[in-house]
Amino acid sequence: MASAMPWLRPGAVYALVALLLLWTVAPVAWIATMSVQPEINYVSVPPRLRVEQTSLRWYAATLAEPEFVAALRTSTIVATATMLLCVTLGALTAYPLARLNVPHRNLYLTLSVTARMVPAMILIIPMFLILRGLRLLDSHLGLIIVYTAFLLPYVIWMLKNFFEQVPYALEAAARMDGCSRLGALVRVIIPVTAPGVVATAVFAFIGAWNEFLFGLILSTRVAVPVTVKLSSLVSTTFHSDTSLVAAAGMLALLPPVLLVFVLNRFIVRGLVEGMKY
Amino acid sequence: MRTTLTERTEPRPSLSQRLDRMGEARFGLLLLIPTALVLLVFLALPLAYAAAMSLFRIELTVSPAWRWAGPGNYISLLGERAVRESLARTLAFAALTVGSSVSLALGAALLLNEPFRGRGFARVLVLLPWAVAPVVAGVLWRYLFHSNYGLVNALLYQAGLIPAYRVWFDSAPVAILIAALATAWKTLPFLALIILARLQSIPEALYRAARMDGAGAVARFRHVTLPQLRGILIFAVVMQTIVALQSFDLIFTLTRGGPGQGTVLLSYLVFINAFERLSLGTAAAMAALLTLLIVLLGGLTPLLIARRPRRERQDG
Amino acid sequence: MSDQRSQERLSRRSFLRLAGAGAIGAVALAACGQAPPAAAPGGAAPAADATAGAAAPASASQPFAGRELTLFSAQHHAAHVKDVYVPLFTERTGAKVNWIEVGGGDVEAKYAVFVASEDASADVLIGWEAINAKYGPTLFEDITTSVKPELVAGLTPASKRAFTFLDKQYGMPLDTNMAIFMWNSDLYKAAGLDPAVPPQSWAEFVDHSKKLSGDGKYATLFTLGDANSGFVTFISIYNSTGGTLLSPDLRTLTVDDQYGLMAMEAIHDIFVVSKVADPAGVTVASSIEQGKIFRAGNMGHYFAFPNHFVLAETPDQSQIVGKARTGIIPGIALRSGSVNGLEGYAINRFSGNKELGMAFLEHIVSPEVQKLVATGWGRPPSVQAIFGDADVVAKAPQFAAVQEQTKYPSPRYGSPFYTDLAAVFVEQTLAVIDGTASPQEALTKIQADGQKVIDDYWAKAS
Repeated sequence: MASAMPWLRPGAVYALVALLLLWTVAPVAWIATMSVQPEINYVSVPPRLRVEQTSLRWYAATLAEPEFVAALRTSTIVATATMLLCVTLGALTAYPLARLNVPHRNLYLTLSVTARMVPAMILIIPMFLILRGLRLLDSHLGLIIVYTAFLLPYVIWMLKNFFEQVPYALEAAARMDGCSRLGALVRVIIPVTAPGVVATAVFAFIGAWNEFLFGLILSTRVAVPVTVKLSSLVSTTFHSDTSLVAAAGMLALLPPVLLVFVLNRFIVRGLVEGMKY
Repeated sequence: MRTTLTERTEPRPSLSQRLDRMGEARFGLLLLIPTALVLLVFLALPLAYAAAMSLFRIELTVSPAWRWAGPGNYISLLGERAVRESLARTLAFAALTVGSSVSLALGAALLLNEPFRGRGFARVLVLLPWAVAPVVAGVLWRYLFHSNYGLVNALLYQAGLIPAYRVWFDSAPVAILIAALATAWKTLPFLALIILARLQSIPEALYRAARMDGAGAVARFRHVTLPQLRGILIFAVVMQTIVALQSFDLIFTLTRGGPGQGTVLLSYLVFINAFERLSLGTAAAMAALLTLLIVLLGGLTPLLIARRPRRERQDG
Repeated sequence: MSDQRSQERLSRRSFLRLAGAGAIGAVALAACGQAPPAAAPGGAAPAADATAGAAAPASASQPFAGRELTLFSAQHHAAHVKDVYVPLFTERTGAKVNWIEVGGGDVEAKYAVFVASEDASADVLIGWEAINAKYGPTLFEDITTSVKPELVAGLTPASKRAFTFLDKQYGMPLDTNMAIFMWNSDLYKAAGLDPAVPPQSWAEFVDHSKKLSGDGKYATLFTLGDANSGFVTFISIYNSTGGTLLSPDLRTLTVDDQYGLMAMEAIHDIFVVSKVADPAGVTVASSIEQGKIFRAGNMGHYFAFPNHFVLAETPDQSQIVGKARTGIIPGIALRSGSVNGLEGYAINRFSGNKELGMAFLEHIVSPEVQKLVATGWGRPPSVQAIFGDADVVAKAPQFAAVQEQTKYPSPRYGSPFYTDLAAVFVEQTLAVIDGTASPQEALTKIQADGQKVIDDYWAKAS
C-alpha cells in the first residue's frame, strides 16, 4: 500500500503512532495502575504519580465474591449465545436480502434500521411487560432474545454488505457445478466472507456484553450482567474501595478485549476489506 | 427418504419437495420469517407501546392510570425551557463529538496506512476502546479527569502546567467536551478502520497519473486522497451523529447529567422523565422527538446502503 | 436434472439443519446457564400467600416456616442487612429470604418499572426520605393502620417523619442517620485551635475554616455533584436558620425570606468570599468521597454522617485513627441544625406476602437488630430506647453527638417532586458559587422556579 503522506518523515510517523497508541491505551492503563495499589496512594492532594505497594488482592477480593463471578458468567453466556443467534438469524436474513429476488427487500432493511434509531430506554417498560408475560424475566434466555432483537438490524445490514461483495462469478461457477442457491451460501459465500462474518460476530458479542440499562431492569438476581454489577459498585454511596472498583472494571472489560485481540486478524480484514464504499 | 421427481404424483409432497418447488421469492420470504418474528415481538411491539404511551398522560407518582392527552405531551414539550436547553446541548455535543471523532479517526487511518514496522500490532492495539463497554468507558474517563486522583491532573501537575489540581467537571462546557472526547475515544477504532478500508482501495493508477502530471506530494494528497475519501467521510459523519444523539450509558456513568443539568442531553432527559420524574407520557413524546431528530440527521445512511447494490449489479 | 434437484433439496435441508442447529445451540447455552430457580422470579399477578412446600410446619417459635420473602435493597446494605439481620430473621421466623440488590443510584429506575408494571416480585423494598414521598402513594403499602402502634411510638420523631407522607405511614425506618459535625483534632492543633472543642456557631465555623485552609488545602468540602447531594448541602445549612422550606401540605415553598437569605449568603461566603470550601465539591455527589478526603488527613472538618466516624477509626480505611472527634453542627441562627439521611424498608403494595413483609419490618425495629445497627453498623438507631442502652453507649461514643443533634431540626423535605425541586436549588446554588448570581438573585429564581415545580405537580395530581 502506497503511502498517502510521503512528506512525513519516518521519525514523525513513529512519534505520531506512539501518540495514537498512548491515547488509545492510557485510560485503561490508568485504571490498571489503580487496581493494584491501595487507594491512599492515589487519593492525595495534590495528586502524585507513583506506583508502589502493588498487590493483586483487589482482584482476589473481587473474584472471591460469588455474585461478581456469577455476573461474569452471565455476561459470557448471554453474549456468546446472542452472538450465535444473531449470526445465524442474520445470515438467514441477509442472504435473501442480498441475493434473492424478494419483493420490497430494501424496505425491510430500512425499516429495521430506522426502528433502531429510537432511544432504547423508552422501550424498557413494554419490554419488561412482554418478558414478564412470557415468564422470561431475570433469565439468560430473556436477555439473549432481547439483545438479539436489538442487534439484528445492524448484524443483517453488515452481513448483507459482506455477502454482496462476493462476485456473482464465484457463485455462478458453483451453481454450474450443481450447487443449489443455499449450497452456494454455505459452501461459497460464507467461506469467502469469513473475515466479515467473524467481524460481525464479534460486533454482536461486544454489543451484547456492553448492554447496561436492559440488564438492569430485566434482571434481578439470577441473570445480572457484569455491567450492571459494576454500576452498582460505582454508585454505592456509603462504602466503596476505589481500587476494588478499578479491579472489577478491569475484569469486566477483559473478555471482550481478549476476544478482540485473539480474533483481530479477522476483524481488521473483515472491516477493512469487507466493507466497500 | 430420498424422493425423486417421478414420485411427484404422490398425494402429499414432502417438505423437501415443497421447498424445492418454491420460487425464489417465496423461499426468500420463508427464510425471513424467524427474524421477522423476533423483530415483530421484541422490537415492533415495544415500539407501538411506546408510541401509544406518548399520547397519554401517565404520572406514576400519582397513579398508574393512563389518561388521554392526544398531542398534549408534544405541545407542552416544545414550550419547555429544559427541552430547548437540552436540545442545544445535544446539538453542541453532537457537533463536538463528530468533529473530534472523525478528524481523529481520519488521522489514525492515514497513519495506519503508512508503511512502518509494527503496523499490524498498532492496528490491533487501536481496537482496544471498541471492546470497552460505554458504562466502563464512562468510569474510566471519570477517573481520568478526577479532581483528586485523576491522571490528567497528575500529569499536568508533574509537568508544572497547573499550580494545583484542577476540578474538571464543574463547568458544563468542559464536561461536555470531556464527554465528547470519551465518545471519540470509544468510537475511534471502528471509524478509523472503515476509513482505512477506503484508503487502501484507492487505485495506484490515480496517484501515478497525478505524479506524471507533475503534482507534488501535498498536491497529490489534496487532489487524489481527500476527494476519494469524501464518500466514506460523509458516511462516518452520519454514523457518528447517530451515535452521539443516542448516547446515554456514557453520560450516565461519567457525569450523571451534572454539573447541575449541564450534561443532560436529550437521551438523558428521556431517562429523567421516565425513571426519575415518573412521567411516562412525556418521556415517550420526548423519545419520539429525539427519534425524529436522529432519523432526519441519520436517515441518509439507509439511502446510502440502498444505492450500493444497484451499482454492484451493474459491475456484474 | 433430477440429480441437480436432489442436490438442491439436500442443500436446502442441510442448510436449514445447520441454521436450526445454530439457533438451538444458542438456546441450549442459555438453558444450561440458567441456575435452578430457587424462588419464582418476576411473578406476574399477586398470588395468594405462598405456601410453597412447607418443609416444617409453622409453629409458635417459627411462625413463618416454609415461607419465602423477597427483599429488594441496595448494595450498601449487603454487609449488614443481608449478612446479619436477614439470617436472624430466618432464625426467628423460619422464613427464607431472597435478597436482591442494585446500586443505590439505580434503585429509582427499578422502582419506576415496578410501579408501571404493578410488579409483585419483591415483597419488601428499601426506602429513604427522598423517595418515600415519591413512591409512597403508588408503590409502598400504607401501613398507618396495620402497624403496631407501640412500635411507632418508640421511634425517634425524625425517623418516623421520614417515612410519613401527608399523614400516612409508608414504611419503618432502620436508623436515624443524620449529619453531625466531625473534625480532625491534629489539624485543629496545628492551626492553633483547641483540639477538643468544636465551633459553637456558624461564624466560628467560618473563622476556624480560615485558619484550617491554605497551601492548596481547604478546610471543608460540601457535596454538590448532583441534584440530591446539592439539595442536601443546602438544607444542612438552611436547617439551622429557623426557617421552614415547605408547608406541611407540601403546596407552598418559602425560600425567598430572611432564612433562605441567611443560608444562601453562608454558602456564598464559604465558597466565594472566604474560600474555605473545596471547589471540587461541585463534582462530588457522594458523602463517601467526602469521608475519604477527611480520612486521608486532608480536611479540617465537615458535616459527616455518624458511620463515617466508625470508618475513621478503622486502620485500613483511615490515616487519622484516633484523631477524629464528633460534635453537633454549628448553626447560623439556631444553635444547630442538620439533615437526615436515614433509610428503612417498606412493603410492596402489589405483594401477595404482606403479612410476612410486616414481620420483617417489625424485625428491623426489634431491640436486637437495633442494637446491631448501633454497634455493628455505626448508625444511630431508629428506636429511641436503644440510645440509652449500656452496650450502645459504651461502643458508640459518636452517638452522644447524635442524640444531641436530634434535638435540632433536620428535615430532608422529601416529596413526590423531590428530584425536580432539588434540581432547581442546585442550579441556582452553583450559579452563586461560580459568581453568576448573587444570593438574593438566586433565591428569587428558586422561589419562582421551585413553586412552579410544585404547582405543576399538584396540577397533574388532580
